[in-house]
Amino acid sequence: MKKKLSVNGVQHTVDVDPSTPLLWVLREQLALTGTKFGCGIAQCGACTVMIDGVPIRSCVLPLASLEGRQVMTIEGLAPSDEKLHPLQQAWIEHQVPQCGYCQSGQLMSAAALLARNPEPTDAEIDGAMQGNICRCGMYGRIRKAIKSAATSRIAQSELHTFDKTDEASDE
Amino acid sequence: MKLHTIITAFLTLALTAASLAKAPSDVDATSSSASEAEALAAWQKVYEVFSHPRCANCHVPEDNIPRWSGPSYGLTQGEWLNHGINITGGESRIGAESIPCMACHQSTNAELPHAPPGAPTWRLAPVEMVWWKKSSQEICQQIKDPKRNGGRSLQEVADHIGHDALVQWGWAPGPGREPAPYSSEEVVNFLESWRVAGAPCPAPTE
Amino acid sequence: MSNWTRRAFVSVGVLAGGGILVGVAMRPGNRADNLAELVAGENETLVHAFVKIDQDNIVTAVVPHAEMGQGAQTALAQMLAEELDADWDRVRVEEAPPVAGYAHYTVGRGYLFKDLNLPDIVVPSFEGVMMRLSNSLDLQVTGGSMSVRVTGTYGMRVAGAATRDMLKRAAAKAWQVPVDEITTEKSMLIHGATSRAEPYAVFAAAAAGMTPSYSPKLKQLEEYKIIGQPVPRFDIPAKVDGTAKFALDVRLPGMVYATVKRSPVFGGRIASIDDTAARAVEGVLGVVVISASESDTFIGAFAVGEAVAVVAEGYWAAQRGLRALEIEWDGGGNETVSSNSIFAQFEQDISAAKDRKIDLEQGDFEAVFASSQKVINADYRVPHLAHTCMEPLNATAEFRDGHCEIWIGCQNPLGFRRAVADALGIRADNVTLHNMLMGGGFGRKSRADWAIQVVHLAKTVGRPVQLIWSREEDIRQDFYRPAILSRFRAAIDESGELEAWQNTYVNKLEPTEAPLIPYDVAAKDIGHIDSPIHVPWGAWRSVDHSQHCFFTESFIDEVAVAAGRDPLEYRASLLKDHPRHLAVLQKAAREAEWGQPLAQGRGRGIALQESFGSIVAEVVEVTVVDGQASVDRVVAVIDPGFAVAPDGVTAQIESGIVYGLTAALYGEITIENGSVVQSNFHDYEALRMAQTPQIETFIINSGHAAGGAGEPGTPPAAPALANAIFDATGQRLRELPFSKHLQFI
Repeated sequence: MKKKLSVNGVQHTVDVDPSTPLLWVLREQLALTGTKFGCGIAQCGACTVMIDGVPIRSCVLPLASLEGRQVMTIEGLAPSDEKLHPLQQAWIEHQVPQCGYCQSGQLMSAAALLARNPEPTDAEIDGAMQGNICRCGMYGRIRKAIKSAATSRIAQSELHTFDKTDEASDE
Repeated sequence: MKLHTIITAFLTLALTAASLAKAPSDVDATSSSASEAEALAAWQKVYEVFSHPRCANCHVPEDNIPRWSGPSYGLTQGEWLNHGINITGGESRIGAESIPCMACHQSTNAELPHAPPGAPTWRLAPVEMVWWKKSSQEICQQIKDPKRNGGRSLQEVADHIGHDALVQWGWAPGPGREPAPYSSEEVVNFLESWRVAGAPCPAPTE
Repeated sequence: MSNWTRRAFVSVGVLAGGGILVGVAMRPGNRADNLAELVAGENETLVHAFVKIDQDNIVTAVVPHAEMGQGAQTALAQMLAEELDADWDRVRVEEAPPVAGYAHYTVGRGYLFKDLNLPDIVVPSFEGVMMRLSNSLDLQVTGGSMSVRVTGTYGMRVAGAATRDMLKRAAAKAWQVPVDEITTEKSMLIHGATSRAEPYAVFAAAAAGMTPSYSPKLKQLEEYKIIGQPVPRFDIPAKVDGTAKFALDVRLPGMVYATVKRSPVFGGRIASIDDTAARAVEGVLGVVVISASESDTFIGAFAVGEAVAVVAEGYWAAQRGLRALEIEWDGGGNETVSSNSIFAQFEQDISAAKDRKIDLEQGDFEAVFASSQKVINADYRVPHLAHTCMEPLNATAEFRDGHCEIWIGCQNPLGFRRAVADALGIRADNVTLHNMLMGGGFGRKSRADWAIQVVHLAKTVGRPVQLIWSREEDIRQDFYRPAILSRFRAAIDESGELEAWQNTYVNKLEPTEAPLIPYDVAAKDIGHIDSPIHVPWGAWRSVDHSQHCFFTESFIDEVAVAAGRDPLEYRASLLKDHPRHLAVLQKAAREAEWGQPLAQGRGRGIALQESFGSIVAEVVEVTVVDGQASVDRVVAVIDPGFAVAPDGVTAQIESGIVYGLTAALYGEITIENGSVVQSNFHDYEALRMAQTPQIETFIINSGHAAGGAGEPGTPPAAPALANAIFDATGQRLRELPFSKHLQFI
């Protein structure tokens, strides 16, 4: 069954069973492989994407429920090809990733947090990030990086959101 | 010890006050044909549903922490855990302060075992509707009190149980979870026969 | 040639003259042309097997180690660049392909002969022997915290210095000046007297024709400019924008997807399958049974159990198909085994003390125990543990015209190439293996069981297949950290001095020194019993150090308490002959303000372990109130000899501590009915951000031989926490995980 899907501001049409979780549609139909599979049951957060500002676990989100909703994946987090999101910059500055596999999900959860709470406390960071497991244990660095992104001026002025009006299309 | 005594006294007072409050207009004392015993039996079935893990796990107190109880979590009667991942629903009761419920709980049940169940609006019940670890009498008093039942008449309560999507989920909770007992129609009927018999509440349990 | 065992390797090594090694990593004759064909791109010259220089003077370190999060590739490039005098801003790194020319004879040497010494003159012939052996062994392991301390020390630094030496010789010849007058700086060759300066690139081709020195002059510690600097890792930018490529991210034209299930009872077989419903699932293409096999590589033989796979157009359909299969399993006789029966067996075997084998025996311990004032007894135990790498096991393979191509993230690419070639019955050079980034490894990705599955599928299906294990399969079909029961007895005299230490445990694995203690005790008797079980075991970050350190460092604490002494002071008093250990222990105590009073309900504990060439001490602070506990702070000190990449070492210590605390707080694989009970992160939990303590890491650069960093942070975490809990509560927890007794908030 053909379904329309908006990802990172681009309209796609996919032909796949509508019960298929978004994670597999992103990875297999759209070849957007930055979003990772970790557990399949919304326990680890590796598959987190942002939908209407909420950090959603794409492994349990059926394609059918996406009508009219805007999906942002790690591939769409940076405001442009030349410029990283302040969180991505902070991730590099604090040398956060080890294996890096969980980091797309960590970054999407962190981006959702900063979008609604530009100056989170440590406890608020813990609360928003507890759904994302990092088996390399880089939680201390993640917390520091979120704080430094939050305090940087860029974070306040340029937190990236989509403007529905300039949506491109691949059709 | 002292604190405990005071709280008990306070609760007793509050409950007395609630039961003294004017009975909701829809309690039809005149058409009571069923015996009080039958009404209490009907209430007992309602209580069985309200205290079932599918309902009580999310009718939690002001700590805002959803509970995990029941056989689907490998737990026996009386055992329970806090929801995993240190989840809290927050004062918003929808997780807006930390992780929104809808980050994981979608509009339908996920089909893998142990994956999150879902319904169109996933949330904790309002804090004044706490049922978690409450006795039959306590919940009974509560459900009759519009201040603690969402401002509903008992007919509206029955209607809510018959139609609300999140309540309906309790009877279709997805793979691996035991549904609430009876059916929503049956529970509506239990409520109705209890209501028309004057909606009596059971004696406090020791 | 696949059935070489470690024992065979050792005995051949000994016949060859036994020894090792200082200095040289390269075989005679320099890099073969076929390596250049494989790794040198357009405008690049392979000057040395580990070094490429391109026309823009970019130096690329070709590193024979995989990246699983540990960051060793950057550290190895630092070591090479340091000796090469390369311009760090123009250094890159890439992983060497899994071909014989990049086999780890250096790693093999480090493993086997690290304590032996061999005169330099023997090296070339010895190198030749080692080279042939490691080719046969297909050894290209990333593990054992080996990369920096072995490949880096004996490979990268030597290669860098030898390359620099060749470049200087090439320039001297071209410029007609004495080679001694040529200096190097930032990838430039300089002759001051004639004011000449040219980039390395100019002489790369000439240098590539030379034979590298075996024992070039290496820099002294005080000359380091790049080693010891906290340089940013090469791999991080791609890990923040989703472009880093893991095995799961491979996309091939016409690719199909598969998922798989083996008998829940280890070693079991399929009794019957009804696949009617599975085949009816939309998108399912077929159901394939993968027969059981054995694989035997240098790092150990293992069984690959019979499995059934569902192949489909997408993973979701494959997963649905797998759930729709009706399978009856034949457990093969182990259906009644449980964790309880396993520990009952261990208990019985230790008590019977039949065929006890001695690890270490010194002094007249029986006499001491017979006459001692006070004897302390304790039994400790730990459960099985899974690895749960963030990236579930997966691989992609294509089989065409007798040739197999496989994309996988693994810790031993050459060994895996051999294993899949054997499984397919083809020659190893008919297998091309692409090693991808690993989303965690921790030891799990050193066993090729899933690689063997995917190549079978590719051959059967005739299309490229991506096999993805569910998290449930990942947890239930692991090679587990072994469960151990360990029994202790210690004797102290009237003044509390430790007189005798006795320890018996089940099942000796690797590394053999893990149960040994650094403490000076006159009488020691450490031994083990073989008590085989059907649960497969594998290396788990720090291997047996993580269990034995929990046992020995908890028990020494018990002894200190029984002696009425401070645990720190007691340990220190037994380390007079171990100045490095003592320095690490005392620095950790100092940084953690050991001795400063703590509030009610709080406690502090310390633990110390030498592993993989590094010494680590950790002090843990914990709060326990009404059965609710939180780990508040960890202070760690490591002496790794010299930290090549100090921020990398710090990150690895933080990582190792969180891995160790996860095991200490939550980790438990329970066996019931011969199979694993747990299935996913809801019942096999990982530490999350809110439970993660503040971690402070300090490095001591003692200048001793290089040690590892990836694993040594893990072992002390559990015992330091156990000792802290005792300090806070007076409750001695002798069993992991602690969540059995406390709720961690």
